[in-house]
Amino acid sequence: MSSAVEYIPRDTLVHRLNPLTKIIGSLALLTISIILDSLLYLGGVLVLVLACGVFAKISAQLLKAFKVLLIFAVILFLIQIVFYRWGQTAFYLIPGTNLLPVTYEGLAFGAVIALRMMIILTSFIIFLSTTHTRDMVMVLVEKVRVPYDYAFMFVTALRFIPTFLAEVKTIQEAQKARGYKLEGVSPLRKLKAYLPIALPLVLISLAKGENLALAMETRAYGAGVPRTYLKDWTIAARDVLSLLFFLVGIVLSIYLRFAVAT
Amino acid sequence: MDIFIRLNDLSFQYSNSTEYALKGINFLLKQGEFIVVTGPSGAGKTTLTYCLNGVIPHFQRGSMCGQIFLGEHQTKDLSTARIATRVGSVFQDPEAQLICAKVEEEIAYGPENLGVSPKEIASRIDEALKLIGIEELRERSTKALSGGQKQRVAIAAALAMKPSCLVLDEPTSELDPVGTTQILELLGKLNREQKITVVLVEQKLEEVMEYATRLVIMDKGQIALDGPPAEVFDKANTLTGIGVKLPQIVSLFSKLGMKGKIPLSLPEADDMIKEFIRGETYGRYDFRTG
Amino acid sequence: MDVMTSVQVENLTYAYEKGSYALKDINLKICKGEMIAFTGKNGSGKTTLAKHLNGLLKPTSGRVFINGLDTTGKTVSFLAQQVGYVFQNPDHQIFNDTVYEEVAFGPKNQGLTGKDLEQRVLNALQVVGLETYGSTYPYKLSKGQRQRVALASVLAMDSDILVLDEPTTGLDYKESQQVMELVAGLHQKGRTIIFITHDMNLVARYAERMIVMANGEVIADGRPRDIFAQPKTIKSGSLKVPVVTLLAERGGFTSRTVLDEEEFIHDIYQYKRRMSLNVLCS
Repeated sequence: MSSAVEYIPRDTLVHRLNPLTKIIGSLALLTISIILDSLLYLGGVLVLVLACGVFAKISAQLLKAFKVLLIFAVILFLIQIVFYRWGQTAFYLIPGTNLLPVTYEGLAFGAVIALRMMIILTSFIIFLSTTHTRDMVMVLVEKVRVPYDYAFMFVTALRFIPTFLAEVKTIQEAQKARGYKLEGVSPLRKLKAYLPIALPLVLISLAKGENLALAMETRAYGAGVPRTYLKDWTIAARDVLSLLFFLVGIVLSIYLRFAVAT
Repeated sequence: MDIFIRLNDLSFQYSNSTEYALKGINFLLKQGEFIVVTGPSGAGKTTLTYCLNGVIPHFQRGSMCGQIFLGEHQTKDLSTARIATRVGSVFQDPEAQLICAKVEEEIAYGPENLGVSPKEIASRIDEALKLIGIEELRERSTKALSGGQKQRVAIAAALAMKPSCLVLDEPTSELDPVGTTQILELLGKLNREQKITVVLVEQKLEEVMEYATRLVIMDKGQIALDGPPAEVFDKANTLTGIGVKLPQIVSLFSKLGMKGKIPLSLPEADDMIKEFIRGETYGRYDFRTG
Repeated sequence: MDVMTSVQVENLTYAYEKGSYALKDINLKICKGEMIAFTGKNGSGKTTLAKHLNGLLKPTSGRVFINGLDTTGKTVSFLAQQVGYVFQNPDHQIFNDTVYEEVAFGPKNQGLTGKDLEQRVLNALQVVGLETYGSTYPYKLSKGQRQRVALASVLAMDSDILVLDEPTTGLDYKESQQVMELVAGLHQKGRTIIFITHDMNLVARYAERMIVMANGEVIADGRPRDIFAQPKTIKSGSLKVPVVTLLAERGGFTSRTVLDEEEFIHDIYQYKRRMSLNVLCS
């Protein structure tokens, strides 16, 4: 099962950026898209964001996610135009009547909202699919001072999800092979019906957990010295440049919104 | 050879058990040895490994009598982190002992905990990967590896702590023959070329015989037999009584009546068979009736 | 299809995802009462093939017949009447407070109650030698005993085909022997046995027939004695023949492929006798 926001390993500039830069970048794009209210400019930003996805060599995955986003955008657009009541009426949604008027302003506003959503979500998808979860969490530990133990717990939990899913599958198969059925059980008895799956899972998970703890213990977990990190998340020139770029973007969008428009 | 670990009259009882898992064990581990530990399940093999890598008395709950010396110090006076820099551990379940999502991170994990500098960690990763011969796995995700690859990553991760000894608890039990051979050959090589002391709990004696310098048979919490493989295998009846499966070569030659001369490798066995065919002795089989 | 066929696999292909085939065009016929070993390295497709026999997996293309029934459209619980499947690790299934209840789980799912149920459970416990452990908490037992509980819980469903996935993995020598002797006993009573294993000594000793799998294909199908004599098959299947087989071949004192120590000893003495007779006569 692959989801749109899974990490896709590639060797590109976008992947190599400091996760913090990418977090800030996504937030900057969110800010920019809220500041801007012109369809043209928002469209331009979206094109830039998508170009960034192509540059990060994740266009195939992005395209898949983009199709879903497009549906949401259309729904959002429709909701907006229906509920937007101000401005000059262009046409009525139900022809021949004066029910559900659609205004020119409503159309524009709906399109702006839809575009904003697309920019924000696309940029976060690019961020998530070019950043390893562990790197993201570790940079939070190092730069934002999130306590290591909590971050480690979170990352390890993520690491073990596939393991536990595989165990569930095996247990299910083993019980099915003994004629176990979950279908057609009344909701009241459902809880009891899950026991054949849940109990072995709990016991096996406990055993795995103990093994994991042993592995950590024998690899100096909690050694009592300040921990170091293999990856040094220094801010490289590419990060500085990207951050500058985002700053310029925000300034420019403020200028375009408030100085040029009036 | 220097004594590396010494167990003095050591007993251990798990807190949830009414019986002692180890009963008065005396055991010397010398630098450079390759010890294979075997015996039926419940004999105390895993508990013995816990005593060597500091899990007992630091992590495992239970009551311990006797002493465990690592060099001059008792392990109870050393932290598990300290012990880990001298004794590396590898466990049975290939899946559960890999802590991180990527091979490189996995190998870095121990040194990171020890506060080793990033530059030094990077060079330790290079070294460990090269030593194990898995350079190509560096960037791989740990979940996508085969069982044999996972165990080799676990060995690399243990070696990145720079221990002089490896303690492995049935690392091949979930592997297929190909994976098993890879792991055992690797351990032989590490022992021979890197002078790493190896303590290996193993059921598959067949293949490990040529690497082992010493064979320890455990039974009911005690060491039943301890010595060079050829000597231990010479007591075939005792071994069978305990429930240890003799390597086929061993049981074959003892059935051929060649007691006291047990070959530990195939070429050796070939020669002995030729000798047997030429020889005048017919062993305990009489050819007229046999 | 004749009544003597337990399993018939026709052009079975299976793909987890489009384009990546786990099984490629498998054809296999297993007769009633056979004892057959599935061998090959991990990932070669042995378990994937075995899971098709009780419907846990359904063919992407091709067909699987169990006692003449096409598995397509049949549920696993329905097929469980025909095929018992013992998983590698008993801890993936044990969830009851007592051994008795654990063994009763399968037949209860089949709808058995009362005396019939009791009879089935007691029978199965007796076969695996755990008749005195009915009220024991399963996790108090050793791994080998738990493996026998798992076996009993499948036996209690009274299917005439039995699939065992690496039944001796993780067990010590005595436990392994116990389990395999049990299985051999079931075979003698007429059950069809399919077991997956890496251990060629077990194959030599217990299997009448073996298949070798590699990359999702059956690369060899025949008697262990014949297959052990094919170095190419052994190599591509990543198998390890028993040491005595190798030694006998290298020793050159016998023309047959030796399967175990007894055969080795018999043949080497016979050779010696021939040699000494030659010396006497010349």
